[in-house]
Amino acid sequence: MKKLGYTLLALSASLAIGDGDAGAGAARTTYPVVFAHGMAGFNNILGYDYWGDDYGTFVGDPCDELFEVYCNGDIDSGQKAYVAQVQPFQTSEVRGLDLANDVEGFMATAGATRVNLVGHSQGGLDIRKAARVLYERRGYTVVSQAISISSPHRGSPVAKYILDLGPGVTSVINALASYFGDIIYQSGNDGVAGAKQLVYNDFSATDGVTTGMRAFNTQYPVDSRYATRYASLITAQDGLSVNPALYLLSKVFYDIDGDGYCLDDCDNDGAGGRGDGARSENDDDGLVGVNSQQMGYRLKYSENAFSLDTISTNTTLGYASSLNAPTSAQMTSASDVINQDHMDVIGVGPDTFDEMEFYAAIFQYIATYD
Amino acid sequence: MSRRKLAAIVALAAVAAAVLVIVRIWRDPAPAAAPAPGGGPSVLAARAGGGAARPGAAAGALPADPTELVAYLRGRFGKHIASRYVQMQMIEKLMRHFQGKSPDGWQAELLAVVRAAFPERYDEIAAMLGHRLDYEAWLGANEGRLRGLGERERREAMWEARKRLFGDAAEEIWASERKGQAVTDALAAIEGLPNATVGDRLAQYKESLVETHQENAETYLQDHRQEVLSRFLALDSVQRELGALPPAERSQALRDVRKGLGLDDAALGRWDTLDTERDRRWAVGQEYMAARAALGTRYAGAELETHLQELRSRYFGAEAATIADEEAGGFFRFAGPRKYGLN
Repeated sequence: MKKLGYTLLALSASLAIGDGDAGAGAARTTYPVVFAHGMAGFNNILGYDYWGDDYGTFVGDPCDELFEVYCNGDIDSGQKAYVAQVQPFQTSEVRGLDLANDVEGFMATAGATRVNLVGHSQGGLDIRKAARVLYERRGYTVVSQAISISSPHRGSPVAKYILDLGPGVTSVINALASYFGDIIYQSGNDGVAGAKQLVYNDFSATDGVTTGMRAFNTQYPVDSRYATRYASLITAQDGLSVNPALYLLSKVFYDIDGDGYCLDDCDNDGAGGRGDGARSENDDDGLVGVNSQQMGYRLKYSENAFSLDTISTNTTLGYASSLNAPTSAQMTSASDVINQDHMDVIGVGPDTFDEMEFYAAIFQYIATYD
Repeated sequence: MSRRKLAAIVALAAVAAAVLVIVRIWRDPAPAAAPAPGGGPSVLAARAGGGAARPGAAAGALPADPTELVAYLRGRFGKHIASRYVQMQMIEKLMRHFQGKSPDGWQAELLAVVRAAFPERYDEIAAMLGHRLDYEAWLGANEGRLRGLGERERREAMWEARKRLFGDAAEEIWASERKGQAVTDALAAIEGLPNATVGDRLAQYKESLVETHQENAETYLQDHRQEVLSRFLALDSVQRELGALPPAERSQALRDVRKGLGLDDAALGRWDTLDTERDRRWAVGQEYMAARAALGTRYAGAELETHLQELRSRYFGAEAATIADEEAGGFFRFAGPRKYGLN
């Protein structure tokens, strides 16, 4: 009888509404969207595994062919997007310049005069440098929307923790950087330099160079000359849902306490702000604390089960225009923090996070403002 | 009352009862994760849990307003539901929805709605759900081992598991990954070609792109021309040859590569302009580095920095401050390698 019930229900549903396309997807952005990867990058040289769903389909691939299924059906069929590639392990000085050069090339190929930049993790730092370089080279604001995802704008305690462990560990980092980076990318990886980039303060007063996010934020600030608008998506997660590798990191080695406020790195943990005394909570995404992630506007991601997900601006927290001196609320508020770990928002599976819809919502958001 | 009428009434009563149960579940769902403090959105993600679903597993209660849900699924996935990749997309969407709503009974609810939306595909999709959960469990159990493997060995181990669990469907589900990997492998092979010219390498690259994407190769190139171009030019072997050519021949070789990958005349013209600008930048950069080194032999400390500031302003104008910042961090952009067509 139950089976008959379902059959009737199925029949009535099919009579009521026939098959067809779902509702409208994201609008097309005025300018192409360039994706900037985080530290390390991707195995698949084209980067679609990084900026894709768990099966390797790129989130910026429009469905522009008849019967095409390996594409993002939630974006406009004419959407333009590009996956940039920079040095996997390096400072954001190096990677940001790489990105600016790559964007210049893309603009020549595509005939674009401006672009939008979306950066994940360290890619969110790189986009700030690229925006400035492009402005200085072209003499106008090349970057329209600059959006970071899970980016350590005020550093990551994990980077300092690793560097503090000393030569044995740092040589391992370098070996890994060279090994993994050099397999498919050009040589030139420097894992230690990459890690120093992600510490808030200058890591060493005796190495003859100035490193870290504090200096970088001064050099590559939120500035409307470089990008019309800056915004950020913030992630944090705790417990067994966290990626096993990140979970292991937090439980065995270092669990970030990343939702307290103070100016600069007052507790010397490697990131701006301090903890609130409670580590085992949703105050970091495994690699970056909440208090490190806001740049410009904080964005709110709303998942809708049966319509397009949306991204909107959290206007309550205001615009984090001074990256080294955000407000207390911008550092500590859990408002609109996306409950995902650092890796969930890119194509590392299997999980049920819907990368296609998430990035479609980003395209839609960009289209609203670019 | 005829037997047919009786059957219809009983069936309708059963549907009504089912809907009532569903409405109750919908209005009073199992406790979801708490909303984020500060009024943020409710917790969104939940990794898969529970045992594997099996074909023919009992389908539980449908969600409230199942007609709407069924219509939605048909509208969104119906056109391509024969594709195992699309089936997987739908399964994950439903998993996410039902796991959040009913952590304990999500599989039965999911299967019920699949049966209602795609009765002719029910067994196939239910089996797919089972394979998906088995694969996730396998990945979880082997996570440490996989991390210890080299990239190639890890890839082989994962494909072995996918084929064992999903059978032929694995190739269809991960088709995009396969294609991306094919391009990666092709580039590695092209890099290793002995005594090949840039033209030879390009010919093989184009051949591999057509082989990988077949009748969709042109559309693929249209959507990804810059990725395809820059990954080719990034090959050390290509850079070595370009670097060894006289400037005019190098310029022509770059043009040939771009034209070979389908850039039109307008794009080729833009690239000519950019190449010229980059050549100028590097020439200025080399001059600057030489002048900088000379200053270093005459001055030191604050005095050197004063002279360097003046030098950078003279050579780089608007970019002088950025280059000063780079140098403060130990990065000298013109001491790095020139990569033709890339920087």
